[in-house]
Amino acid sequence: MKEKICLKQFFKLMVVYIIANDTVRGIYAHDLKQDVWIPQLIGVLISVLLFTLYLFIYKNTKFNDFDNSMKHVLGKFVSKIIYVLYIIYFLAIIFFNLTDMQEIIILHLLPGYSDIMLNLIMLGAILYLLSKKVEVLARLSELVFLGIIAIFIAMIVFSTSIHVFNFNNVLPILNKGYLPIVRPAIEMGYSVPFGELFVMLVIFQHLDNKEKHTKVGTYSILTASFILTTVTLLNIFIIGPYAMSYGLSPAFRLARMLDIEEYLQRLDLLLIGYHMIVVFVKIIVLLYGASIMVRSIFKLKEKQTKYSNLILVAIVFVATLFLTKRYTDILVFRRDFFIKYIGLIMEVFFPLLIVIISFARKGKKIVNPNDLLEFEI
Amino acid sequence: MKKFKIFILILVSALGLYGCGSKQDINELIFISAIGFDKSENDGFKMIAQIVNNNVLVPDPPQITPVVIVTSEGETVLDCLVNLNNLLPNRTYMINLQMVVFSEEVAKEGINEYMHFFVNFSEAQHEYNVVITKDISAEDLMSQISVFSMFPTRVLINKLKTATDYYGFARMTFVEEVVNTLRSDYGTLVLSSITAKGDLEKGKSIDQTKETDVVSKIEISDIGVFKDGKLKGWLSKDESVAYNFIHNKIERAYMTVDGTKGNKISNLLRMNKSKITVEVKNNQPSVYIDIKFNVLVTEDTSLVIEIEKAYEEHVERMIKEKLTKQIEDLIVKGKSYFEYDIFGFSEYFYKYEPKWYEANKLFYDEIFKTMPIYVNVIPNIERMDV
Repeated sequence: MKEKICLKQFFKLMVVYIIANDTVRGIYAHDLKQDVWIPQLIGVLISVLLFTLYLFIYKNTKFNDFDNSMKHVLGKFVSKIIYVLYIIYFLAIIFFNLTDMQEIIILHLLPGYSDIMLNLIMLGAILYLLSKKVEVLARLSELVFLGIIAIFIAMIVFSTSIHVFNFNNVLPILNKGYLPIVRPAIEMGYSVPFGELFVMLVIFQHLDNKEKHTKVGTYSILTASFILTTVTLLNIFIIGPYAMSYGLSPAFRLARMLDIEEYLQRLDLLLIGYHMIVVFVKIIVLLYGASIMVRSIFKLKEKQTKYSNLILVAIVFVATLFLTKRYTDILVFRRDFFIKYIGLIMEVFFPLLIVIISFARKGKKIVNPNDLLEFEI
Repeated sequence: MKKFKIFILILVSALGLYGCGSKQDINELIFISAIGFDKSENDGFKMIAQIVNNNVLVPDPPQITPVVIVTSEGETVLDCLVNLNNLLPNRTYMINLQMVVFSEEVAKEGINEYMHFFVNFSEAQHEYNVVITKDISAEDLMSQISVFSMFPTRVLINKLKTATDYYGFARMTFVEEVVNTLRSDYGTLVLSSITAKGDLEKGKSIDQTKETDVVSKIEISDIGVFKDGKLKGWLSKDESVAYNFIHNKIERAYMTVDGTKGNKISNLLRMNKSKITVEVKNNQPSVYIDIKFNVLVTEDTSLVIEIEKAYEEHVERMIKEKLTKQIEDLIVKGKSYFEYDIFGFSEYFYKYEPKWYEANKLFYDEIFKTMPIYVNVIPNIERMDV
């Protein structure tokens, strides 16, 4: 790997990636109300477990890069099929994230603004950043991470100084039993908000001395989950279990409640503007993952990747042109089908299968995957 | 290649200019400071909007009305707003909305269906008060010009805040709290009310600001008690203070008690710390209310505040007895007059005894009527203003 990122940069990039999921994670509060923090905590554990599991793909193969590790485990042909599925999966997540942002910006920030123009501008900025490769992305995420921490602290300070906390809003705990939280807890672990982390393996290859730093993912997930869960708890304590279920982003809702002496108001609008950059980082990571896979499938040279990136972005743009007419339909499809089935397959079943195979192939002789026959597994 | 990149950059930047196409000058917006609802003669909503007159927003404002009232009707709140816009030259903007007022009549019929717009509408900020009117319509209340400020809504909010923070007989209730209570099957909604007395017609004119006698007197009135979103009755000011004591909502309050020599002693009560505990033993629910607060003896009509232990104990005992009686009378009123849990103890049963509450919530009102409620008032003489 020519490009290297340091441990801190990877940590911050992953935190930013997870925080980007704040946009829609409030959807779970609609049913779970004051119990929503419990599946979140369980989801964090599942997420940590899954990411640790993903890393066995590197540990068991001893290759430095993602592509060779995958080819070593699965063989060229199967890895290509898996790549195609993951490219579609990543593009779908990008599409969902983009429509989330589009919906929030058009509703709150720029009412009446053209969807097409907005998507064009967002994807243009994303494409530009993508062309700058991983090191620039890592540096950007360092800055964005600082902003997130500053906003988080400001939010806690403002909330505690101007609102009364009703701690007993969190009661009763699990009034309807454990069953209602089981599925959300698992979904939160592998999908929104703490999951969708398989793509981070692609970024992980750029990390120096990765064998020694396998815990960095755990620290990132724990840090991001601390921020997200604190915001959830503030929602419960300040807004209350029913009023907090309006809207999809707990952070925006909390920021909207902040009114400092009628002077500082509507901080949600500032937060939405900032969150756009956070979502950009997530989309770039996903696009980068897809780009690496495309490059491997078509054996593209590095210079040719900019064209493949352009095509990937164009696919997303075309999808936004034709599929974003009804946001509710997208949200329902995402919640009831994509996260439930596709996410489970792509973030749990496939990685689990790959890891099991990697264990089976652990003792095998390490050869350059390019020397392998096309159909060998 | 570099020139091409710069060209592309300029082109992409230029796309951002698209946003300027729908720009809205601040002078072309109409700011709504308060929204009220009266009973419509048709089958729908009647909305009254108090609109800030932009012409007074200058350093040396002319002698013109600072606010105007516009009324519209519709099937929903948004429908009313759309119809309101038809009457106005520019688009309404609700970023400065500060108060939502329901008339007594509307409150009696129920406020549930009005609330979703206010909790969900993205244009408005969220720290706005919800109040009801007493004995007058929302339109009459909102058309009163204030002698104290250009903006009557600001005066109303300040009055409400003063009555809440300094005298303890009112409540600031924000939209989120209203929605939480309305949507849940526990708890009780209470809202402060505002009334206006005097010559309300004269009160609508800015001419009243030229007179020393205030022609229309706007005051914070009783607290309205709701059930299922409908106004069921009122709590007088003394009852409201007792109610707020129970719910730990007292910043400061005043109480006058009898002295030993036929004199009257006035006291400032503050630093209220109340705790409601619920208990279910052998399927028998009970409620314990512990109220602690500090007392500052402020005035004695006998001209002397005595530095004696006996005096201090007398004041303490009298305050304890008076407040306990007020609360017990209120409990009796809740059980016999309202015949349902006006105190929202159901919320505590739901939170601390959820299984019992789930099993009994359908008969809860009946259970409440015979439920033992124990009150323990502990005043502490903090200091005597000698």
